[in-house]
Parts: sequence; structure tokens; C-alpha cells
Amino acid sequence: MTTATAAPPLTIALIGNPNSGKSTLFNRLTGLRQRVGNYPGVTVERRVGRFALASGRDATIVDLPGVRSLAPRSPDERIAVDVLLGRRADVAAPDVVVVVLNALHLEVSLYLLQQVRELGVPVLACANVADEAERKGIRIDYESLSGAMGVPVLRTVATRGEGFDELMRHLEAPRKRFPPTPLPEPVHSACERLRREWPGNPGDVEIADALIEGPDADGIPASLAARISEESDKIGPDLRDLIVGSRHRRIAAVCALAVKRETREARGSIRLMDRVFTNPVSGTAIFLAVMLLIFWGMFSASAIPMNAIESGIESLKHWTAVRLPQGMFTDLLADGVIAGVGAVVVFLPQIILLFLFLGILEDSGYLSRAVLLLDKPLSLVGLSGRGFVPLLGSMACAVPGVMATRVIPDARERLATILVAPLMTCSARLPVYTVLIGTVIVGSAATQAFVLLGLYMLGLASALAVALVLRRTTLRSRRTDFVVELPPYRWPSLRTTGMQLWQRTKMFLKRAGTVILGISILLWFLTNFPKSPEPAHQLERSVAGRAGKLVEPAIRPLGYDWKIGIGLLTSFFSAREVFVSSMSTIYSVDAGEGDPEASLARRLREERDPGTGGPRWTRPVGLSLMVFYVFAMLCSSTVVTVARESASWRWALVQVGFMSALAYVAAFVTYRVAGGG
Amino acid sequence: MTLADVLPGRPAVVESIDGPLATRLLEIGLAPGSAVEVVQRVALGGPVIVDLRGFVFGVRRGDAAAVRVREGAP
Repeated sequence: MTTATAAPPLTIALIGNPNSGKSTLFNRLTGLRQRVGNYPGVTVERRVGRFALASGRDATIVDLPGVRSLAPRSPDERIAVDVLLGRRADVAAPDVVVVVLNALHLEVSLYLLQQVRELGVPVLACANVADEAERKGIRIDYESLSGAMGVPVLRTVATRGEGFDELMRHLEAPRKRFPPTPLPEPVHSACERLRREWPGNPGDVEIADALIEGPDADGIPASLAARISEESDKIGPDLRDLIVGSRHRRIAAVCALAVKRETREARGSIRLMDRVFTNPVSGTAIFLAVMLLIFWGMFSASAIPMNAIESGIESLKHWTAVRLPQGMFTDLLADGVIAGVGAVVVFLPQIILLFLFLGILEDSGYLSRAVLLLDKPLSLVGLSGRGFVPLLGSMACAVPGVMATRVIPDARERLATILVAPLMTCSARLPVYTVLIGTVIVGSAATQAFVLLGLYMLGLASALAVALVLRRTTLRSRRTDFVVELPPYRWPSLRTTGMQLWQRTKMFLKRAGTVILGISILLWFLTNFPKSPEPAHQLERSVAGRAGKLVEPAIRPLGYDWKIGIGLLTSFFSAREVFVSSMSTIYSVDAGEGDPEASLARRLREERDPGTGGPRWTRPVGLSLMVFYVFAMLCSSTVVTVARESASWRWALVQVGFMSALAYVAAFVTYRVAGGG
Repeated sequence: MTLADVLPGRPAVVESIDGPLATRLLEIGLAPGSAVEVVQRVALGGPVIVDLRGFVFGVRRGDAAAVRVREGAP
């Protein structure tokens, strides 16, 4: 219960450089009291948390994306400026802005503090990872630093909560309010003149950036282009130095006063590790070993918890069917809800493991080295090293893979990466491939493994090829902002990684409990209605069966019949692995008996073609279907995620369109070349 | 010479910065007069890894070629 006299919650905005430990500080302050979402209309993650201040007053804290500068060139930076200036309707104007500095690189991170300070908002700064800085012999005089910057600068170590008492005290202390700092002349006058002609009352950061970078950036009114160029020409070639250089000269003076480097840094071992990790021979070998480890984890180690979940779901289904009174509701619960949601929840261990590996790789600092190592190969197809994480993530599931594209600052490069990520072979394709290979590739285990590897390679090659086409045609970039920091090597923090895993798990389960639950229920109704008097013809006469018959003429040329048609449709409306469960239902296989996938493969092999009397599932049919699954976008969750992440349904539909076209053509060619039809 | 030409391990001093990343690089403090060291040039025309006062970062070869430097300590 809150008392009537309680003060309104204090709104805090948290901003800082990437790798400054900002998220650790946020997690430490809020614990599990946080919500992760999206700013509507853009692809920027919105993290809001709550905690109690020392006085008991509530605080709401907004964790802004990691940025180096407020110059609004990426969606992240635009959101940051909007939130800081209180321009967004969905976030209250902050009562105080906390700037997280990286104590290891004050010269770099004070730039952001200087910019925030110039906005004229109440500011407080934390020099974080102070312990690492002290070990390196960097001595910071906080009093003179605070004095020189005109802002309280506190010493913090977010991983251990050091300095948090003082931070709490300062959050509630009265603050000086500064007026916005004008830019140096003649930039200031130019900004004032442009502001009068510019709709929407832009801030100095926005106008100054347009002056420096030219008028053709996103969000700048085209009518102002000539005026911006004119003002920029009037100021002359010193423009960039007047705005950016002057801040750094001030920072250099502040650092000369307040920061001492007592010892020469011993960077020898770090330097050596950097060289080893980015060397063409050792770097590539280590990279491949890391990838192998991840795949071993995802496909081998995850089998134990996955089997446990699977049998848990089976027993739950069985229990429901046996214990509850027979009838439609029980059927819906067992075959619709539990089977449908269960089919997706089974993938939770794989996804958790992938995020665990990614979290460790990122926290340890290795990921930035891998990003640099892979930048050149990926740039050949128009992507950058930053596309590596989303593409790797998509091998577990395209949903987190697509979300991981948020690290790419360039909007077009991000979109291209989003559009190709679902072509990477996700774990949901694996059960489909396993069944199909078991059905039509009758040969040694080595042959089967070779086919599987070929499918993975086909996925990768098509993702890269499509990226190349997109980046050469509709999604060209003017330039790519590729400045990647190599943070120091660190032991991953259990607390931070655990928190991230919990967030991911929560998001995944929430999706399973909403979207996937709804689709499963719908699907159950579609396969069970209208009721047929003969149970043997139930499927054929149901809405789903009729839909299968309806699409049959379209998929005939690929070698598929209406039953496969149902599998494709159910896959499309839910997820790829549903194909296997649909086939199981359709071919009424008793899944409880032995290995469900192997028995399905045997049943499929025995199926006769009513026309010819020969096997229905021939090698051309199986191969054609595998190739179809390589390309087709048979996953509603990914479509929804892409629509949300690209902030438009248009690109999601474009993606469904080109992937379907690729799938159809490739499957047709495969069917013909393999000797079908 | 440019930042893309400096051999790993050799110190250099920045003389001027150009190209589309000029503002980004200036924002992290890479300015005329800055002392830098190239840590590594990633193979096959990959990024250049630069150490600026202990702040280590990678930029693409093409962007590094827009930074004019002279070899030696400041």
C-alpha cells in the first residue's frame, strides 16, 4: 500500500557508451523489476525498470541504447535525444539524466557527458568500471573532475554495487539546472536562423549534425536542403572542428587536470590476444572451434533437457486425455493446446543455450574480435561484421536472430540482414530434415549427414546471395558507420548473463503463451470441423483438409499432394517443425511407440501413391520438400517479428514473397532434376 | 601516408581526417595531433585495429585510408 503523501516517482534516464557497464548498472538497480519492449514505430529496444530510492520514494529508470554521441544519425541516437529532451509521449521527461562513463576511457566517454550537459537537462555522471581503471594505474580526482565538468561525477563499480549508496543520495539531492549551452559562434547564429524555418522545433544537436553531415540524412525536410548547405558553406571548413573538436579540447583540458596515469599500461598480453584472435590462421582456427562448440552445445548438450521437456509434455498430454472426461474440451486441451504450445516450448533449451553462448562470447570481449575478423568476408555481400551475430543467432531461431540486428546502426544494412536472417537454417527445420532424410535417403549415416550439411550450406549460401542482391539494388547505403570498439577481456558475470537469459526466457514463454497458443487452438478447430461421420475421413473433410485440397493444384508441380499441402499450411501459420506433428496426425502414427521421428519416416516410406501404386514419398518428392523448407518462410512468429523490427508490414510481406518464390522455383527445379514428374 | 599503411606495432601521429566517418572518428577523440598505434591489420583487406590512448577500435581499411598520419611519436 502506498501512502497518500508519497511523492510522484522520480524519472531517471540512463545513457552511456557501449561497453561502459550501463546495462549492468541498470540491472543492479532494478533487479527483476524491469520491462523490455520496443519504442513504437522504430527498432529500438525500450527498457524500463523500477526501484525504491533511499527515502522510499519510487523511481522509474529508462535504459537508453548505448551510444557514443547524441548526433542523431541512427535510430538509437534519435530516440536518446527525444527521451532526454522529453519529446516522447511514452516516456516522461526525465527528472535527472545519469550518464555512465567508462573510467578506462574517460577521454572518449566524457564527450557524451559534455553533449548531455549542453542540452541543459539535470545531469549526474558515474565513472563506472573504476576498479579496472585503478588496476591499470588510472587515478581520477573526482572532485576536480566534477568541478571542471560542472556535474557531479561519482565512482562506481556496477558489477559489485560499489558507489551505489552515494548514487542514491545524489539522485534525491537538489540539482542545479543549467540553461542549454549555446554552440560556438558562428554555428550558434546559423542554428538560430535554421530553427525558425525548420518545422518541429529541432534542438541544436540535430541542426548541428545536419550542418556537418549535409542535408540528405533521414528526417531532414527536403525543403531545407539548400538552406542547410548555404549556412554550412558560410561557416566554412572549420565547421566540424568548431562543433566536435572544441568539445574534445575542453575534455582534454579537464582530463589533464583530473586524470593521472601513474604507471605505463601493461598491454602486452591483451595486445597478443588481440593479434591471435584476429590473425588469419590462428583467428580463423579459434573462430571455427568456437562455432563447433556452439553447435555441439545446441545440438548435443541440449538433447537432454529437450527430451525431458518432450516427455513431460507427452505425459501431460496423456494425463489430460486419460484423466479428464472425454469430449471436445479435453481433445482441444490435449491435441490443440498442449501439443501445439509444447512443440515450440521444446526449443527453449536450444535458445537458452545459444543465448548463454552468445552472452559469454560478448561479455568476455571475444565477439568484437570475431566481428572484425568476419567484416571483410561479410562486406563482400554488402553486410558487415556486425551481421555475424544475427546470422549466427538465426541458426537457433530467426526470432532472436532478427532481434539481434539492433546492433547494426545503418538502417538499410540492418534491414538487409533482417531480410536474409530467416534463410539461415534454424533449429525448427532440423526435425523436418531429419524425417525427410530418414524417409528418402536410404544409405549410410555418412550419406545422410552429408545431405544435412548440404542443406545447411544451401541456407547460408542463399542468405549471402540474397544479401548481395539487396545491397546492390534497393538497399544500398551511402556509407557504413563501422567503428567497433575492442573492449578489454573480462570474465563473464554470472549475474548479468543470468539476468539476460531470464529476460529471453520470459519473452519466449510469453510468445508461446499468446501467439502460439492462439494459433494452436485455431488449428485444432480447423482440423476437427466440420465433423465428419466417418473418423477416417475427418481430416479430408475438415476445413484444413479442404484447404489442403485447394492448394494441391498449385503444389502438384513440386510433387506434393494435399496431405503435404496441409503440412505446409500449418507450418506457414505456426512454425516449420509443425510439419512433423501434422504429418504424424495425418498418417495417424502412434508417436508414443519408440522414436517418433523414425517411425514416421517408416510410415511415410510405406505410403503408396493411389495413382501409380508405387511409393508416394519418392526421392524426388523428399528432396524437393527439403529444398522447399530451405527457402520458404514457414514461420508466423518470424513474420510478426520482422514486421515489428522493420517497423512495417511491407518488408515482412516482401520477405514472405521472395522466400516463397525462391522456394517454389528451387523445389520445382529439384523435383525435375531428381527425376520426378 | 595514411592510417591504412602503418605497420602493426609502429607509432604514428594523426595529421588530418577525411571521409564519411570523419565526424565519428573525431567524436571518439581521433583528432589531428593524436598519437596512435596500429595493433593489427586484419588479413585480406579487413579492418585496421587502432589503439588510441588505450581505447582500441577497428575501422575498415577504406575509412582508415582517409586518415593522414606521419610515422613516429608526437
